[in-house]
Amino acid sequence: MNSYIVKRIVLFIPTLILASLLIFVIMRSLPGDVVTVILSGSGEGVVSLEAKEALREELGLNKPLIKQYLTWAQSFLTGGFGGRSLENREPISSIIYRQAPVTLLLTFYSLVISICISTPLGVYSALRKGSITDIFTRLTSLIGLAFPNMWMALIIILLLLLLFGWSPPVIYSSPGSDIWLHVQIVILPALIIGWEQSSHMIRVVRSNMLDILGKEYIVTARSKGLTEISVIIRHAVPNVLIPTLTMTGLQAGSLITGVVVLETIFGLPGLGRGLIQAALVRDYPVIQTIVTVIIMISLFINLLVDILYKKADPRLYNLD
Amino acid sequence: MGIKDMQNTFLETLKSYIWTITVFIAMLSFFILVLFALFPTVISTHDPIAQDANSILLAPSSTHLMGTDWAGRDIFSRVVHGSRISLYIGIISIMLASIIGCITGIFSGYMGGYTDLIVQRVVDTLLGIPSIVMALVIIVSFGSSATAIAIAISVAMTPQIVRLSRATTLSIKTDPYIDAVESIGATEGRIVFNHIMPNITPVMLSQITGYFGMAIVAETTLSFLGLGVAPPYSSWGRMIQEGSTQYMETAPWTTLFPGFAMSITVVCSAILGDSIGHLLNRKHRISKLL
Repeated sequence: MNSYIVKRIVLFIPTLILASLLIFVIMRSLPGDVVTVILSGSGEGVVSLEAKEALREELGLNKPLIKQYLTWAQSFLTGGFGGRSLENREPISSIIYRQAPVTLLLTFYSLVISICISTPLGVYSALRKGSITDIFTRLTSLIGLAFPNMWMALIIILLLLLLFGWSPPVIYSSPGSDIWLHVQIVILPALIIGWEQSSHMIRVVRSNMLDILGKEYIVTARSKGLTEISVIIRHAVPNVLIPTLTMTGLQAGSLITGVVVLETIFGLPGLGRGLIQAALVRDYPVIQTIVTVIIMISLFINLLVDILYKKADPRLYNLD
Repeated sequence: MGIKDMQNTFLETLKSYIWTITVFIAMLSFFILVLFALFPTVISTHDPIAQDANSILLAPSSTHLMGTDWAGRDIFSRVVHGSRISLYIGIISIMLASIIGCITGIFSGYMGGYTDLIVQRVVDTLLGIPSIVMALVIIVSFGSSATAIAIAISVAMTPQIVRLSRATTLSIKTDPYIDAVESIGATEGRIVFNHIMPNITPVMLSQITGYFGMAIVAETTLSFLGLGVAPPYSSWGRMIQEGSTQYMETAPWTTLFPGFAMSITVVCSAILGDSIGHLLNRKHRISKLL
């Protein structure tokens, strides 16, 4: 068990390095002169040669690419997170420390909501196939598939406004300072991402559950005289958890995409909104660092899933 | 045959009829969308970028089928013209992603061994990068022309297609007829091109049709976030963004119609993908492999 976890963690590092290197190369392979693009983007008009040279020096662009990467990686790892923002000279580390908790919380809520919605509903609608609940569940998951998260968010905001005259608070509040305000602002995006994610997951859980209910060991469990509840809880559900976990891992990327988009719509001051704002003003160092941090979160969810996977499926114990 | 059986047969027939009608409607809507994209000037009633100070934020009526936006531009005409960008980016990105993805996937699945191992590690890494982040990095680096956006979306989608085509190749590789072809001394090129490719195509086609909708969602999301094709072109995403930031309450039609255009496209591509999948019994095998 422990050697498996160690192996996964060891594998996590080269994956992260590969991903960050890839992003680094794409960002540095700008057609034309990066410095000109950056400086002309900031709207300063005519750019002096000295300013160009100074920026080139700061970004370390006059060094070979691999050295640039190493310098950046060193700064990232030692907590500097790759220097300062080009836009307002704020250290990137303080941007990350400010924004990351918001994103992590939203990701966590959405993950919990999507698992808590999809597993019981998927199991239930498989058990009561063809019932009203089943049809309702499948219909809602169909809506979740047809309406991409940003579109869904806009419709829900509009509906809430028209029906109840309520709109989510605009100013973010951390759970430490005002928990009630925090819940109010975070609940909608978390629910919407949860809905979108569970739309995919419910289908997987449902079809797997139907599959499992037809298996011989369920018949055996029933013929032993176990109650229906314990047949389902002890024998069927644990087997459904495995595909649910697989789906969670596969969907980590789309979950994060949802977080990035909805943070922007709901004005949550997280990494996603920070990334979009940095992208709009072409603040390269900030983009690079935020992208790497977001990829870290996504890969970390995958790592977590891998470890839980092992716990959920004892057959994997013997593989090492 | 008892009453129960008759009921079941009836329900089954009814279901298949409903399914056929759904597919028909999806195909029809898709056809209309293609018409929109091919002949936008013929279909649209107004100039999509002509501003008109006398008709700002008008509700839908017979002259303005979907109303007008903050600059007095006709929303119907803008939706029609916007379909062009969405379809263009959707088609280009899906073509790029499927060509590169399928070649890599088949190669990796067929070769096996270290090649497969390396390709799979790279694909796993790419899959770990959220698609919007990948697309954003490419757009920031290469500008936001329609082609750059299409490339960005295709890069974000390719790893999924690699994964799928590899899984499909693996399932076919073990089929007896491949052994048979190998035993009569066929070259690897012949096996891949004459035997694996034709068998993969239908499965991939079904999935890729579904991915088409996702590409359009990606394009809409990017232009919604302000990273899409630059004005004055109309794109659904930017129309939604313009409408939703200020006129959500007073003029919801500015947001709703382009949004529904996108939703219909997505649903249709999902239904068409599904119906292609329904025609193939291989689909079940593949979905289990993934």
